[in-house]
Amino acid sequence: MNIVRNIFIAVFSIISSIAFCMARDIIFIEAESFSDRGGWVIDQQSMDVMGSAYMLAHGMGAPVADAHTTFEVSTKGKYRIWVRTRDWVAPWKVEGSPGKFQLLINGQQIETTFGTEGAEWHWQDGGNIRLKSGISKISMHDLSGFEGRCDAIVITNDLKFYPPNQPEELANFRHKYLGLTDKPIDAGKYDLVVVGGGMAGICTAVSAARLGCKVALIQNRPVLGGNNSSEIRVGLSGLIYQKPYTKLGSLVDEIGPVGHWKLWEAQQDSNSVRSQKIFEVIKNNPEKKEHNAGPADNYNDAKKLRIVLTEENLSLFLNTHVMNAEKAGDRIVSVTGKSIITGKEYKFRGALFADCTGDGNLGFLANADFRVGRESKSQTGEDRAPAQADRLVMGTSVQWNSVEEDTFSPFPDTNPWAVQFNENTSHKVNKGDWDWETGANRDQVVEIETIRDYALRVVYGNWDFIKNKSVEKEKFANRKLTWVAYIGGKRESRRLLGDVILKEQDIIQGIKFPDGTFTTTWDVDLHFPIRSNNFTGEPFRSRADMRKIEPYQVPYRCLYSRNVDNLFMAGRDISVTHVALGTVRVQRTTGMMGEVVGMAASVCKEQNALPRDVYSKYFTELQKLMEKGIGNPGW
Amino acid sequence: MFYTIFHGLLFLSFSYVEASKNPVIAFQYLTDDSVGLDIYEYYDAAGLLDGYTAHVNTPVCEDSLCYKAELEFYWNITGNFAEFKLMPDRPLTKLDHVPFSKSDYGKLMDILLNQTPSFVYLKRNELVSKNTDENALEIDGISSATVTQVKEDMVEGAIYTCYTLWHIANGEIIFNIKEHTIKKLDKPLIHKLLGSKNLEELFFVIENIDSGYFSIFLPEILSLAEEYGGYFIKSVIENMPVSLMKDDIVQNFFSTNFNQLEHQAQNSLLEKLEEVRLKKSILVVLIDGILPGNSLQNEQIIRMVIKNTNSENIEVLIKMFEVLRNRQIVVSEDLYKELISLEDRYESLKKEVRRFRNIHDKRH
Ligand SMILES: Cc1cc2nc3c(=O)[nH]c(=O)nc-3n(C[C@H](O)[C@H](O)[C@H](O)COP(=O)(O)OP(=O)(O)OC[C@H]3O[C@@H](n4cnc5c(N)ncnc54)[C@H](O)[C@@H]3O)c2cc1C
Repeated sequence: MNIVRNIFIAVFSIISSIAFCMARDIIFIEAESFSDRGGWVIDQQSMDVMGSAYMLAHGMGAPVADAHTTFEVSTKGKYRIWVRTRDWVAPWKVEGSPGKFQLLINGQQIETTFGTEGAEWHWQDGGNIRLKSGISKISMHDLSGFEGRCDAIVITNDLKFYPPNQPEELANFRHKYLGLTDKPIDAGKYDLVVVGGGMAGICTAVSAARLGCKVALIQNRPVLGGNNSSEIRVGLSGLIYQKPYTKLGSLVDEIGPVGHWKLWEAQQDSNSVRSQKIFEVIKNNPEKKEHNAGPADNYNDAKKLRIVLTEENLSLFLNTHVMNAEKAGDRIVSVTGKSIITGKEYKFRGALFADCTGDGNLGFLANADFRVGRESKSQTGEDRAPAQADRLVMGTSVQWNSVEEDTFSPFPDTNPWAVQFNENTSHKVNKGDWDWETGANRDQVVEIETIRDYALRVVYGNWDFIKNKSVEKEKFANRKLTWVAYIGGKRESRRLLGDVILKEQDIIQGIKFPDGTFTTTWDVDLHFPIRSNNFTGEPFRSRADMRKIEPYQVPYRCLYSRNVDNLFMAGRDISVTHVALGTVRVQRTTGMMGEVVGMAASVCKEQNALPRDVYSKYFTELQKLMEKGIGNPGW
Repeated sequence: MFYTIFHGLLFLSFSYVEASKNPVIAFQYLTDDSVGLDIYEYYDAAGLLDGYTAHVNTPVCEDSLCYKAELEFYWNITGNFAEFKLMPDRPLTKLDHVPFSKSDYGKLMDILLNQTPSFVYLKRNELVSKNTDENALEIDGISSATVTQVKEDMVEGAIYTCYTLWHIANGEIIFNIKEHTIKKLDKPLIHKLLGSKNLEELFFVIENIDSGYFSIFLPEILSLAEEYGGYFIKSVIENMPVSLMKDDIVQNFFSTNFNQLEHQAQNSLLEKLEEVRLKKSILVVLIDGILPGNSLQNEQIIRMVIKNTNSENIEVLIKMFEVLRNRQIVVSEDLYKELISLEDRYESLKKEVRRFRNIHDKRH
């Protein structure tokens, strides 16, 4: 564990003192930096659009506990309050403003109710208040538990002042009044900087670190795991330990929780020590068999964190969203990450970079070539490609679950703001699994707030109907909605292009590439929105169309960018077509990509080479590492 | 509604036989079990494509034991499975050759119509578990060998029949049907589908017709857009060829409807309108859409208004300044400068610009 890491972990993990700064008569308070966040949570999903994270009152229908912080004014007098917020259902032109909240100053409620106007993020006028000089306490008080949101608060004694709304002006304003340094804080120099801490990113970072690279792993959430974290709750699929590199997957095995597929493997070979241990875990915790949307512990965030933290050459930066990349020629020289809590900026210099963001965010910042959506049949020759290319992708899921209580469990009326259901259109189920999927026709990066919000309107509207209005409501009387994701589980965004763009027919026909690496085993599994004839709204469920495959070795050249010389990628943003993504996107497979990329990075370091050189000059070195494997599953 | 077909009508009635055209093979298809199927088009009374049908005769295998399932499958024009009909004297059978009951057929119909049954991610050999203890997968039952979750989506005693038939009804054939229908989209068929009041078909048409047909059917499409609104109108906007945005009918249509559109649909529309010259009627409506709390959209509208006005329709600019002033709209510094500079271009705007500037200056 090196010193730099210690410092940064400390900085990022503390629910720190608030980031406000008084300059003249304008006080800017980031909602995310409230010293006590109460029941509010930080949402950073739209940072690339908004420039900041925001606080969300995700109470699933029960108002969340107040968030508090303090601020100081030097002179007593009249101050005007501005709150950056929005009415999150206004884009659908529905009434009801479910995201209502209030502000309390020194315990006194101010008159305005926030979150009640405007389809877009904007500064809602909170009117004037009187303040004494010195420290005052400010609290955010949620009124509904239905996703009220606040980005920032401005308090000023310039009563004529309007804070800016336009992205650039707002960014400058924020920067200035938060008292941020002009230049990002130096967060060190690394052999490999890994952006994104899902299964692919964790495996990339650990693999490279174990092979001697000095690594930074940057993740924009407080937990590791991405889709496999307790925040999104997607189980791990795909087979590991496949021929010809039968040790690939050992790190995935070490990091990944025991769940459906480990149990499946154990059943195929029930006498091995590994299988017996897996049986033991399942015997003690049978709930681990629930693959998606299961209990939080099923996803074992703590284990992932522990493994990463004990890695000597690895520095972890949680709560840090990478928003900028600096290049020299065709290489990235540094990336800048912004704290989702304090807004502070950190610069990470590196020789090599890995985009494990799922969304291809780093590649996008570095102008790497990429594709979004479906290629046309003439472009790829794939059976399942459409005649015309389009922007359709596999969508985002907001999964949810409920439990049976002993007594009646109420749920509020969501009319008129949620999506309205009836006996024909509602889904009388206890849980929303993978097939609750929205936004397939939308941009998964730019429109993620809309996509997630629509999914929430669907989940709440459906739950309200089946609990309160349906003829079958008795069945749901004691059921309580216990978990609804507020971080959308994404499947597909940008696919960065490498020297090889893998196509479906390569896989189906078993075309062999000389640089085969990890083996993909999941059938080519594409999702499509389900349209129903009696539902006029945007589709919110999907169907899966599978095409059977034999285990297939994916070429190394899918794992680095074709035009940014020192950029690797691992995860669902590698160089494949839309159709081919259908097989490689599952997380034990994306984890193995990470193992390979970590190994390749170590070869680059050893040989002072770039990712492409590993293919052209040093592939045997990589092969040796793949034969050896990198994990210590410890069974 | 599908239950009704089981009331006395269990056997094949060949609806397409009554149609005006002989069925034509649309394409051939190989199932997962390598059974070749001829997929026929079928037609309505007017001779227009109405869906697809295939005579399915497939082995259903359980370990080494195989039996036959023979029936007629129907898909709608957009590729969704619609129904099955039985062959005379060929009832489906379960294990031990017990024939399906009426309710078994009803259940089978529900299963085949379900696009996300619980067994969608299971391989055939995973449907029945060898483990009956706590090591069984979540999908396993405690007391029964058929996995519990799967059991609900299966006709008891006929899981392999359900599994095999579902994969034929809902497999890759759907893509092939869609592709085939897209090739068949001609004037009469589009006309029929647009009149169908079937949302699935309406979406299918607007997503798959070329710009020529879009233009020919523009009035029908716009009237459907008005009728369904919401997400449908957004899809119409997104699929509408830019060239049509110039059209009077289109601009008038959106002049009437802009303020009722959902926010994202408005944004999609503005993006399309950026590409063409805008008429006064729509500019006035866009101006009315300038609201506090819509800062990014406001900027876009204001810039579009500036771009599309000149000294001949200066009243449009005057109206915009009025709205900015009355609704206390805050704009970015760049846009502010652009607005202020308009007084250099249009003498008659001087007064409005001065009033706007006064308010603005007071605020900063
Ligand atoms: C509902 C659902 C069901 C699914 N079912 C399965 C299944 O059963 N089995 C299976 O294996 N897979 C399944 N998948 C697919 C799988 O979860 C995804 O393909 C997975 O995301 C791949 O992992 P990844 O590491 O590439 O990306 P992710 O898990 O998305 O991880 C990327 C991480 O990077 C972070 N990040 C993004 N941008 C930045 C940035 N700029 N700075 C810092 N950090 C950033 C993200 O917050 C995220 O945590 C499912 C997906 C969904 C949504």
